[in-house]
Amino acid sequence: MNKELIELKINGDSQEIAVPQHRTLLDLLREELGLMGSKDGCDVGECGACTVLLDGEPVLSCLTLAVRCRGREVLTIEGLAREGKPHPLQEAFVYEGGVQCGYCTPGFIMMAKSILDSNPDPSDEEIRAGLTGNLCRCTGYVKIIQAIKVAAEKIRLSPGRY
Amino acid sequence: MKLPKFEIFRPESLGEAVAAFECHQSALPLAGGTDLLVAMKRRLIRPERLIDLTALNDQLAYIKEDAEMIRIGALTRLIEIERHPLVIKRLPFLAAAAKSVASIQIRHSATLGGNICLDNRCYYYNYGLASGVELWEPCLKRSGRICHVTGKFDDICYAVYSGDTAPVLISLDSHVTIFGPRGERTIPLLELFSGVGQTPFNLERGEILKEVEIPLPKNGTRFSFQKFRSQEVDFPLASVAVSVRCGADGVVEEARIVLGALGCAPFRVRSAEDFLKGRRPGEASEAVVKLCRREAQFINNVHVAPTIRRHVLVRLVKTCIAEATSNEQRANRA
Repeated sequence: MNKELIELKINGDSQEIAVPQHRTLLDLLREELGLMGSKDGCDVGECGACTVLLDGEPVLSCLTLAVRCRGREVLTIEGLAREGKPHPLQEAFVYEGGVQCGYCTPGFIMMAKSILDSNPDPSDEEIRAGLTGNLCRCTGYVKIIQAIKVAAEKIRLSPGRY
Repeated sequence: MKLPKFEIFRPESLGEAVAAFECHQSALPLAGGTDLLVAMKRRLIRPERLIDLTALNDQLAYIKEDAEMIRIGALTRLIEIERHPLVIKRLPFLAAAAKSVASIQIRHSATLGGNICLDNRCYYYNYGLASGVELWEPCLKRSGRICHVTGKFDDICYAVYSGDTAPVLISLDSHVTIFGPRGERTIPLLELFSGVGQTPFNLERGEILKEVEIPLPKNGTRFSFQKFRSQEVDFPLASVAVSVRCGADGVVEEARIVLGALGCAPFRVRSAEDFLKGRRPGEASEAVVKLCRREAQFINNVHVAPTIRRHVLVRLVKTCIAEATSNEQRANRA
């Protein structure tokens, strides 16, 4: 097995890890680093449950090879909370009922973060368009969209903090 | 599903990449990987080595305008194409086609070259292992003897070409530059496609797509692109790209009608193009629809019945022609 030593930043921490060349970023996160937040849904790029931010851009970690993340910055759901307090998106998903079984939630929240990073005040339509790559079988999406709008408002009220 | 084991080789230049293909017979190029890795996870292909083209990003990821031409590097990601001001302004339908590919997450990885060189798909080839039919007898595309679409032991594979950007690029009269062991060659994009289900591209071993050249549309040329899919994130089940140039009297002078996902390659419906020439688009559209239906291959190789695709094609072609000949649209919004 061909292992490679790569250096990458995961949720703010620089790490040096030896990974086999055929390991996906998702498997690296879940199986070697114990970051179980990103979920292994369909594993073929259809559900969006494994979405993480790579250098701030949303990608599917199940279709990203870990060795291609050399020198890059990965943000997963575990890296959103600050000083023990959940991110406004996490809070809003809980309080607005955007979570039911919870399996798709990390993917949705990471995708929502990428939407809000580029557009702090998205319309319903813009949120829907941004979420086309994420599947949820429980909520029917209405509560998720509502949660993202609530979070967007909170983030706008404290600019620069999140 | 785990990826099978493989090695990665990272060439620093196109020359090195081509040399690597010559040394390793089963090697495949890795660009965005969003289709290749899925095929590997499903055990449809098992390359021992992937040639990772990431290091060529500096050379092959760009969008630039020069001499009445827009040049797009093969490693340009689809998200960059759909958001690039030059593409949005001069080639809005290419932006629309790029935007219709899969999901935002996938478009952040997938490249234009990868989308053009998307392997042909077939319900039985892509999902046959899961449903068991492929275990019983592998199909032609998996180097077997049978085609599960027709149920016959012959040598015609009906896997359908499912790229979204190629039909629009063909309607724009694009050319592609290919780099290979014997140097560079530039061919019309249409000639890249072989029309054979198992091996859909006229590429020799070791050849890599380098650049797509798109001539800027002539004044007065108008375009349209329509894609039919069963859900928001899906491969096309039928797509139509049309470019039309009308004279001052409203009569068609030049037309290109390209159908995608309705055969083993994207193709121009030349009979319909010829019919349209010299006529007013409004009165010719019924006949054009008929000619398109005659050329398209409606066969049971995707997850939607052929009858539905046949009905949908009528609507797609009509919408395309109406849109491309409406007065509001100005293709050359300089």
